[in-house]
Amino acid sequence: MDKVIGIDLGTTNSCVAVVEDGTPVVIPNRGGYKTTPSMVAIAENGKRLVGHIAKRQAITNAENTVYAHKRLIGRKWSSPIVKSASDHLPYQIVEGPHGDVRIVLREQVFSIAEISAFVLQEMKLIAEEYLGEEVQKAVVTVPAYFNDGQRQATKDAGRIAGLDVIRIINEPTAAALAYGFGRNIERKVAIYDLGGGTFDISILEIGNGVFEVISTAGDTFLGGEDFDKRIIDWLVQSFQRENNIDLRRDKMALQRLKDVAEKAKCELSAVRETEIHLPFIISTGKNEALHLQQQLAREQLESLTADLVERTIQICQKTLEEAGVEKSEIEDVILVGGMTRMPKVQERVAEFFGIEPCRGVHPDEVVALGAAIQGAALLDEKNDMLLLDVTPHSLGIMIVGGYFHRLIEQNTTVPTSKGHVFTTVKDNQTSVKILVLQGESDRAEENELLGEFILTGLRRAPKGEVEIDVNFEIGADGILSVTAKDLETGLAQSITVTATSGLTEDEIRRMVEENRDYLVEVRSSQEFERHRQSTEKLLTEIEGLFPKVSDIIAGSSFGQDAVTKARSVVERARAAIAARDVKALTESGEALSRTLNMFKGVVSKTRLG
Amino acid sequence: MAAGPDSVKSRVTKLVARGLERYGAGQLEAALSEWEHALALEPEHVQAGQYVKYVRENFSGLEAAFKAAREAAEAAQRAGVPLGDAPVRSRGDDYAEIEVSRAGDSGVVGLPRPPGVAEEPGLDTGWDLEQVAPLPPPPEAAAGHGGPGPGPETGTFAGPAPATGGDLEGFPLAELGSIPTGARALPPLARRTPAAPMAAATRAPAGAAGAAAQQRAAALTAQPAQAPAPPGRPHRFGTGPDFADSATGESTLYRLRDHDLALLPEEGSGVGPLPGALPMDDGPPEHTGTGERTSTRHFAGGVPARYPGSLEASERDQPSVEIDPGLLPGPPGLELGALGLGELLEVAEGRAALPDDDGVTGVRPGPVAAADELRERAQVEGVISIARQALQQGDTSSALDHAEIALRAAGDGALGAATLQRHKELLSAIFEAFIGPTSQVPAICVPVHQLGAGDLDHRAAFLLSRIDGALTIEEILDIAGMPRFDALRLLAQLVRKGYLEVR
Repeated sequence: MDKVIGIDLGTTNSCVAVVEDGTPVVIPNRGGYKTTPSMVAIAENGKRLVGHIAKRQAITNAENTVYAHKRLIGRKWSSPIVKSASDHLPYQIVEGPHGDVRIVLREQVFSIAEISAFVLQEMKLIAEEYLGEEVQKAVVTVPAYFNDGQRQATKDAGRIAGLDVIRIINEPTAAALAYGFGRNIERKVAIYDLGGGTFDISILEIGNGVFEVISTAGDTFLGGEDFDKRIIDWLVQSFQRENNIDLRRDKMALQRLKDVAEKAKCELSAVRETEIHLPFIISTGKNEALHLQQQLAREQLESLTADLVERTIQICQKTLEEAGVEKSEIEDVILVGGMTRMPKVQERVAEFFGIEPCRGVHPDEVVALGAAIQGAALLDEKNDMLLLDVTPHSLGIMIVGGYFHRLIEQNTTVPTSKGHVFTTVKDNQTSVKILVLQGESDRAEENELLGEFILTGLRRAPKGEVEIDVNFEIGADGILSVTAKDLETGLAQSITVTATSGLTEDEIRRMVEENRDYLVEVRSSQEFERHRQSTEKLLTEIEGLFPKVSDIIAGSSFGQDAVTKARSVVERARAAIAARDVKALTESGEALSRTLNMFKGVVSKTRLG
Repeated sequence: MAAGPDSVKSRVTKLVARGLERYGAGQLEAALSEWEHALALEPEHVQAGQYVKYVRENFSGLEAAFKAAREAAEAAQRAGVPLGDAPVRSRGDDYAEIEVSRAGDSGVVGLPRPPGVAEEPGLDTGWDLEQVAPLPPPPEAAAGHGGPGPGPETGTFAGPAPATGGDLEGFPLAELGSIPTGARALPPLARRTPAAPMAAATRAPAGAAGAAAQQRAAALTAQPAQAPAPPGRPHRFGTGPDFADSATGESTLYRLRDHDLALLPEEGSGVGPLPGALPMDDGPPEHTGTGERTSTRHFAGGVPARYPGSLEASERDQPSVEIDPGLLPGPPGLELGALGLGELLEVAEGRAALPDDDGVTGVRPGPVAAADELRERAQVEGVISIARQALQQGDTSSALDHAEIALRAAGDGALGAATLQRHKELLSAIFEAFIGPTSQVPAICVPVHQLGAGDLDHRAAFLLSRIDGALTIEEILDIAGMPRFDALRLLAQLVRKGYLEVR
């Protein structure tokens, strides 16, 4: 049976899991790590780097390394978040042809969905290597606040990566699933998610198999990287005091600082003190390289990052207030994200909520595990862990005064159909504009516009006399249809709203094919390189022996013939290298080996003779 | 008294043993001289023949290895670190992002042992532990201690100035990065300076003749005074005794003629004329100051047909390396045409005019600077040529060593840029051939705390920091943060020094 993998596509790190024999397990990557950086880079030689290797050069190749693209996926170019991000991102972002966001790397333009696809593809490959079989289906998680456009973009990314994303689920929901919540349980839980790049706090109400997100808030620019930056600044300042050199000016030094800062931060979750040692960190002009050596204690780290932790607690407070939920109503707190391993974070969370957080599942794996559980449940129809698909946000229209009237409430299970009768607001109004909106704000302008249309031909009458029935219908496939009908005349107008990621179907198909071709090319290039190197080695040896062998055996007609044949073998091998012909190279390799053996034999016989 | 067969045998044995002594002390020329003397007395002597063959075939690598050992010993002595292996600290002792991937390996670079060398009691074979290259002292505890103060950040590292001496100076085995032009003495074109080998071959007869011979020997063994470069002159390639100092007119080469006298067989010994060939690559013809030319001797190709004496013009003009004059960027107005190395250097040194058919006659303006520049270029090209030959013969170590010599000689200026432009592909191939397939995974062999203060520059350290036991060489090149050529070169140097191994 096909396996379904669960993928936590994180802002900083991604994780993939699968259910094996009823147990969800996280799949480690080639390096043995259970998380993979969500980074993509294009190296100077044009090679695409994904994951750990991209992270290892993120500073030295900053302009061509994409990170935190999750903050941009599915957003419009005009979005304030995009504007804010473009101010501090080292890589170049530009407006796409559909008002979406594109990224420029070494003069190539990529959509955000494509970049995410490269990461998803990496997770797919990790899973396939582990399972030993092709993987086609996946459940991918997204933040609870993601709108339809962002969710659709994530699905498109999966498709470009060769995955059929059979379900998109919310990250806090996945975390709760991993802890076994949902089985005949009715609870209010808090999901405290402090990851590498973002902080999210969600309050979930679980009941009857439905995971309702009561409230969600956070800071998309607060995460583990900010903690790393504090350590880097501390190291740099200390070094500058001693040596009057700013290490930030050197990209190599900065890269090493970043790597070691993150490592030290992680170490300090387990030990009270760690030594940071960066030998030969920078060269001076006087024939020496300087070293950096510092001791960092846990207390020092806590002092450096206290305000960051407090900010998360403040956001938790605000979220509870807005949701009208008391701390005492929270029955469980689930920690998500690697940063929650920090003892100080755990301490403050426990202090704030007044209860110890759930432990037992690694916080950087819990979301992927929940996604894998959901994936397995989707394959097993009898499984009672199946989540009902719900609308993540409320849907409605704008009414007089600029207010938002909800027709379908948030977390309504789909398919669903809801309608409401509206009336005209002016005397002799002959047309009405229907603005279809999605969101939670009571003000229409603060919600997202999904589409609009106009219903004309209304009877001239005093305001309030004409009745218009507006109906919202969401099918099982998630497509929303909105119909407005004049109840008196029967005239109707409608639109179909499909979430768009900013990519057309043709573009997605092209990207899928390009990605497939790229994979094939990478594999064949690796194979060619392997053959080329072994062939070059043989050629060097043979060409080195040629003069000697020619002298020894060229005197006889047999010898001349052998030398001629050997030359033609060499030429054929060189031609195969130039043509990048793997098959010809393999054949040449055998001929070259025989030629070399013959040459060596001739030379050694002469020595003995 | 006639020398009987037994006494010849005994002499040969002693010559072979003395050759081993010299070899152990790093005096390769002297060792060769002893063994060839033995061969002169007994041409069929198997051991002597093997030793001569081995040293000749591996001369550059051996010389470099001995030099590295010497420098390491000197550095250790200066730092007060006792020689010998230092204990390897466990990985938990320090938190460093450059980690040892193989515990227990102290990364000692040993000296090569000639084939078939047996340890004879009482005979100093040169393999004592004291002579094994010790590890450099651990780095300073905090940054900025000791050493020269900070200067402009060039991103390159030039190691400490080498000890001057008769051997191949400035050989960069222990250093990484580029050396600015003029920073140090560089070896002459494939030339081995003789140090003081000839004294070993000279046995002082008794009496007045003996005193005269001793004086002669003393004159031979005394290190020649090196004339300082005249002020205002550009950096000279090889300020050691590789070619005549035109300012003083003195040759600092040993006098072959005197040595030949010492090599003459004893009367009545029944031994034929000595072949007399001692290994030496062609270099520029030199003046002894007496108006007489001495011959240079050849490494390969056996012995010259005639006894060393006056140099024939045809022999002088035969370059030992081919130089494509089209590769040499001549100064404006100077067409080099198809000149051999010998002719090129004669023009460079103002001892000959350009052939008329080149359309240029006489010496161009600024002969001194132009001559030095031409000489440097010629020598760099020559060394590159040797590197190419070594690569073709599969001797990647020698190819790498010569490539490094050429690059350092070329420096960072115009000559360096031209050299790189012409030979980048070849040099890259040399580095790659030395490192091995780039699909392999490198591992660090030396504990960080055992690296000396001058062992790495920050670029090499950055490369080491990218090694995690999973990334291949190719992947490390992808994320090196520097041009591929530079990264390949640094990696090759790290492997050469024994800091890295490739699996």
